[in-house]
Amino acid sequence: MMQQAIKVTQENDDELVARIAARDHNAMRLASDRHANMVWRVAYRMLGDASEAEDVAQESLLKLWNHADRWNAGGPGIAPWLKKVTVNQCLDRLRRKRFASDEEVPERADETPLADLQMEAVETGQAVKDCIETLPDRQRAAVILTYYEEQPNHGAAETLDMQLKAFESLLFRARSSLKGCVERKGVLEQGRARL
Amino acid sequence: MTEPDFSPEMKKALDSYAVPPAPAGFSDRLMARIAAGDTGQTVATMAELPTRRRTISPWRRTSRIVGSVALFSLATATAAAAGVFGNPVYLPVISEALVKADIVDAPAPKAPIKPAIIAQKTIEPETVVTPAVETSQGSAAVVARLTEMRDDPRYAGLTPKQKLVVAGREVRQLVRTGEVSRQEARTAVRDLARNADPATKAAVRKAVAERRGQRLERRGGIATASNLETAEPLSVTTPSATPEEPAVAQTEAAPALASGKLTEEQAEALRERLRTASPEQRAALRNTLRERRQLRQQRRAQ
Repeated sequence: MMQQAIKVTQENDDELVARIAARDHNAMRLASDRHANMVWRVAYRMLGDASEAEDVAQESLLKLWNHADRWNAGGPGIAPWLKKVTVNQCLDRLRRKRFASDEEVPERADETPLADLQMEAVETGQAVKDCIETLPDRQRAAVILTYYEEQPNHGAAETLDMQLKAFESLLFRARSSLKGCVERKGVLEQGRARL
Repeated sequence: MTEPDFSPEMKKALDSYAVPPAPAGFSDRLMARIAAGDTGQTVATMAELPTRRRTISPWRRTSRIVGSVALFSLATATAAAAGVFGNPVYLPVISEALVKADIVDAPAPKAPIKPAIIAQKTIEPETVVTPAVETSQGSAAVVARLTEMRDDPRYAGLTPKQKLVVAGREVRQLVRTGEVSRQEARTAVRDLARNADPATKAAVRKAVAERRGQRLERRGGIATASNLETAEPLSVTTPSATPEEPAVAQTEAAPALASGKLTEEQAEALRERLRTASPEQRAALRNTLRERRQLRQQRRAQ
C-alpha cells in the first residue's frame, strides 16, 4: 500500500516536473503550494531568520523551475530533492555569512503573525532555537532533518551527501551537544516543574 | 552507533520550537519572479569568497624543505659530474695510496735497548742512575765548548784574564740556555782546571788570585788579607792559604783534622777561611771536614 502510494507520488512528481519543464505556470504553482511549507520550515530552522528563509525557499523552488528539464524520472520525488537543495543552500549561506563577517547577525524583529502573543509560549522554543543555532552547520542540518522533518537516517545522509555511518556519528554528536545546551539553559527543569 | 534518544521532556522542549507557516503570498511572489524571468541566480552575484589560505602543516613543510635540499644536491652533483663547474679539483685520497701500495715483509723487530750497566760498587744506587749520564753529557758539552774555544786562534791571542772572562761568559751562556746545569758546569770547569797543563794552571791561579784580591779589596778586607797570612796554625790543618792548591792543602789537612780536635783559635780561623775562601777552596775544606767527621764517627762506632 505504502509502496503503491510512493509510486503514485513519484508518478505524480514526474508528471508535474514534466509539465514544469514544459513551462506550465499552473504546474509550478501547484508544486509551490505542495512543498513551500516544507522548504520554508527547513530554511527557517537552519537559518533562524524569516527573511533569509523566504529567500532560500524561493531560490529552491526557482531551481526546480530552472532545472526541470534535467529531471531524472523515477527518482525519490520532488520533496527529497527540494530538501536537499534547500539544506545545501542554507549551508552555503551560513558559510558565506561566517566568512563575510565575524560580527553577530543583528536581531531582527519577528515578522511572523501574532509574534507578540506567542512570546510567552515560545520562551522555551526560543531557548531551543538558540541551542540549535549554536550547533555546527551540518549537525544542525542532521537534527532538523531527522527530528523535525522525521527523515530516516539514510535519507538524511543522502541529503547531506554523507555515508550512513558518518551521518550517524554526526547525529550522535549533534544530539549530545543539543541536549547539553538545553540542559544548561534550564529549559528541562522548567518543563518538569510545569509538568 | 546507538543514538541517545531524547527524553520526553527534551522532546517537549524541542517541539516547542515551532516554525511559523510560510509567509502569506509566498507562492504569488515566486510566480511573479518566474513571470519576470528571474532565474534566481542571486547567489552568483554575491561577493566572491575570500581565498581560503591554509597553514601548511609542519610535516609537509619539513618534507618540502628536505625534498628541495635533496633535489638541489642531486642537481649540483650531476652538474659537477658533467663538468659544468670546470675541471674537477684533484683531492688525494687514501684509496689511491692503497692502489699504489705494495705488500712487503714486515720489518724485523728491533732488539730492545738494554739499560746500561752502571758501576756495581755504588753505595747509593739511586744517585748513580740516569743523572750520572746526564752530568757527564752536560760536562762533556762544556768541555767540548771550551776546548773548541781554546783552539780558536783569536782566543789564543787573548790575555789570561780576558780568556777567563770569555770562558766564563760562554759557560754562563750554556747554563742560561739550559744546555747544562749549574752543577755540571762547575764539574766541567773543575775537571778542566785539574787536567790543565802547568802553565795554564799557573795562569789561572794568578788570575783567580787577582780576582780574589779585588774582591777582598771591595769588601774592605785588607785586614782580612793580613789575617790570611798570619794564620799559621791553619796552614797546617787547613788547605793551603793560596787558593791555587786546594788538592794539596786537602791532603795535608786531612791527617791533622783526623788526628785531633781543633783549638778555638783554629776553629775561628777555619771559619774565617771558609768565609773568605774561593768556592773551590771552600769545597775542599768541606770535604776535609766531612772526612774528619766520618773518621770520628767510625772511631766511635768501633
